[in-house]
Amino acid sequence: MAGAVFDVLIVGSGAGGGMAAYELTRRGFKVLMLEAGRHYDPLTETPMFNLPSEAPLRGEPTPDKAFGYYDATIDGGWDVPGEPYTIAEGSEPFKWWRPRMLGGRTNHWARVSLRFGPYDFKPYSRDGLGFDWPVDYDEIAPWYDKVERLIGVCGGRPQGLENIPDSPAGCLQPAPPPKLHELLVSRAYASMGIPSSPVHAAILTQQLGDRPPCFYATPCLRGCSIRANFQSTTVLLPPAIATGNLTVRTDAMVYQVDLDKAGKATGVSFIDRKTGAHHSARAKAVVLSAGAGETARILLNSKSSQFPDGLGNDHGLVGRYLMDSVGTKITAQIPALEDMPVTNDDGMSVMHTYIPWWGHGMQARKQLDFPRGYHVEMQGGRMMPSMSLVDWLDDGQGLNGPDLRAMMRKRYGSTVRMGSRGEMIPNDDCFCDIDPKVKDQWGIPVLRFHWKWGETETRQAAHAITTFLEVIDRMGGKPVGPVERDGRKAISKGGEIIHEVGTARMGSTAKNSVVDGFGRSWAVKNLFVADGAVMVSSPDKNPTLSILALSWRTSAHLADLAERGEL
Amino acid sequence: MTDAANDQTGPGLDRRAAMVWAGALAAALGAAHYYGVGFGATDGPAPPGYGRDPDMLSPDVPWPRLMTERQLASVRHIVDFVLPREGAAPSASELGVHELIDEWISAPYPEQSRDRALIFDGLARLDLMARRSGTAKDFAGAGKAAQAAMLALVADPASKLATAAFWKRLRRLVIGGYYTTEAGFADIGYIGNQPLPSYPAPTAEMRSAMERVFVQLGLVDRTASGG
Repeated sequence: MAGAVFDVLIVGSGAGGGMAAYELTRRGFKVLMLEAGRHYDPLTETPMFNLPSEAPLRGEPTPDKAFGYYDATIDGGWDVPGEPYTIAEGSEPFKWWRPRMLGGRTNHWARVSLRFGPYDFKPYSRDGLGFDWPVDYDEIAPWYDKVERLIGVCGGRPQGLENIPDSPAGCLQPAPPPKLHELLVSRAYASMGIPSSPVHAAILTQQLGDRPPCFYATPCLRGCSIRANFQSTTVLLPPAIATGNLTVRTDAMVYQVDLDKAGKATGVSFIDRKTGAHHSARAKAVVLSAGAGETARILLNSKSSQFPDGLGNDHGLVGRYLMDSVGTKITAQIPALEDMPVTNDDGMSVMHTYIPWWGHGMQARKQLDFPRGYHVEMQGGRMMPSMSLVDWLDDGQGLNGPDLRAMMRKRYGSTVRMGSRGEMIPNDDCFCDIDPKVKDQWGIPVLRFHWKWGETETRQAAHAITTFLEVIDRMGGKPVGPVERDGRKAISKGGEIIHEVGTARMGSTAKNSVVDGFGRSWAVKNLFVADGAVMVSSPDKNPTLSILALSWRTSAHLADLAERGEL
Repeated sequence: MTDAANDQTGPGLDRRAAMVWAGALAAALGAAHYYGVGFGATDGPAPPGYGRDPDMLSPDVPWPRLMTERQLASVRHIVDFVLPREGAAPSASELGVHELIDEWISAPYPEQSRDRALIFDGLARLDLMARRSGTAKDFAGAGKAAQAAMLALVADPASKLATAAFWKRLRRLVIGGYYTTEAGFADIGYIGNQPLPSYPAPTAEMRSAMERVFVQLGLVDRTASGG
């Protein structure tokens, strides 16, 4: 690698970086990928079928493994040792989930893969809030088509719902049948006039190329050694490597984009996380796909006489308009589910059925006190028992002995958890910048987060809780544990849903955005951003599918420009 | 598995005897000197956890266990009070749940460290209660019926005793530990973690059971596409 000049250098190996590598290597470009974490191979490292009883503490979450022992996240979590971030004084809490592994967070996401809809790209035009994207749905739709066909997304037949795009024939694999408890939840919503839908998930229900379909066991959050779900490490990087055009260097923590005197990117500087040594790597073009937080950090730390406030930050927009999804959750015990036949409810591990946002009409008629929607996710039924099982099942009688055993048998499978994932409108109080004092273990200045939910979000959260309570009541159930109805308290913490996006947004001019509609930096013409940072809004739909579609489009555009000599 | 050899009070514990235990417990709870009991094992620097990149395929518990033999013996009795053998379903101690509790309270993480303090405290109170009764040196050495009487008091959900938090937490760990085993899966009716050729749609039997529920709850489909 030393001395070599690559055609393109990609920072990060997750959804954005993996997709960029897939496109560019197949177009014949020599690509260097730098990943901050260690090498990771899901084929040999995934704990498929491993039991709770085989893990320390039955696999329960600890500070070392915050989502449990078997969660695929490596060397990370809500904090990364030696790599702190800070929260600004007066800010609401913000949490930042980071792994340090090849493939990044694609190794352990929930695989919910919903397209953004036409409204989602033009929110300002619809209600005067937030900002419009410089692109519309029709522009991105063909890229969604390509991504769904490539990675494999199940979801079944068109549903014809407002602002929930159906995919053209041939894009989606069949949806699996609903889980038993989902029939009841769906009917309860249907009794309120609210339709449900098969979820779209990046999980195979049919063979795709040499990848077998899901066998409906062992949680996706552990990763998948049979490659039945989408991970960058199983779906994007192997074909990219097979071209012979991809060089991957792991344990390479990029902290700066290097520029020449003319202001063009020449590559990046990085630290070898194993040795602490500083290196630089050179390329004719650079793609930042480090994730919205880390991409902003690299830009802000890339200071020069030409960019004293950070690269591309002439208008103070880098780090701005940080968004997450609005999240709420509630658990309920439903007596009507107690006497149902025994079923295997593992399924795809994610729900098979979800409730898309149903309130566009009410919002248009000003019948709701919040402007943007949410969808409802659910889990329940006979989930693999965990140490917290009893928290959901216990009847509060303090039973022991045969009575306890009978109660557990009776109530097992009768609980349902519902959660909302909702749109957040970007606001001036939510952003990240560089902490003026704190540096990481290598001396690189760290990110400082600023966060404040708007009323548009907290009211939405309150509406979700109210809706859940009505649905639970219709099912004849009761919430488990105390219920927080105040949206300001019920809402998730900033970053907690791990959908942080929007720190280097795209736009129509250099004054209103960091990158153009293709993810190309306005300031440095051979620099591109291909991750969630470019997002202008954060619709209720989980962002990964859109990151893949946007990255593919950005990478194809980069390749087109390079082929035409226009970089 | 049984403790017949230790059974000093015999199976029949009448109401009057239970009152004696209750008095002993109340005295134990009020005792100021009991803090000195059983905390030595927690002294010294905390051992490391399993880290951010543990071997997930061959897991290992890197921290030493901290319970004394007597504490572990007490917990062994307690886990079987919560979930004794019943028919084909093994008891909690047969599944090693007491060993899990020892592993759990020995872990160098905040949640488990809090549990260690709580559970050592509760076990010490049970020991003191047994001592005050005058028939045993500690809880583990008390007879089966005496242990059952003490636990019945401690486990009473209406209990206002200082052991309430101890009991609530320990019971939760016992139940969690029991049902996270394969025997626990079988007992409660978890049949997953098995590869399937396809995901089965709800059967006609399931659908009709669900239809009956819809009728009982008055859940009429009011969506545009609904019936």
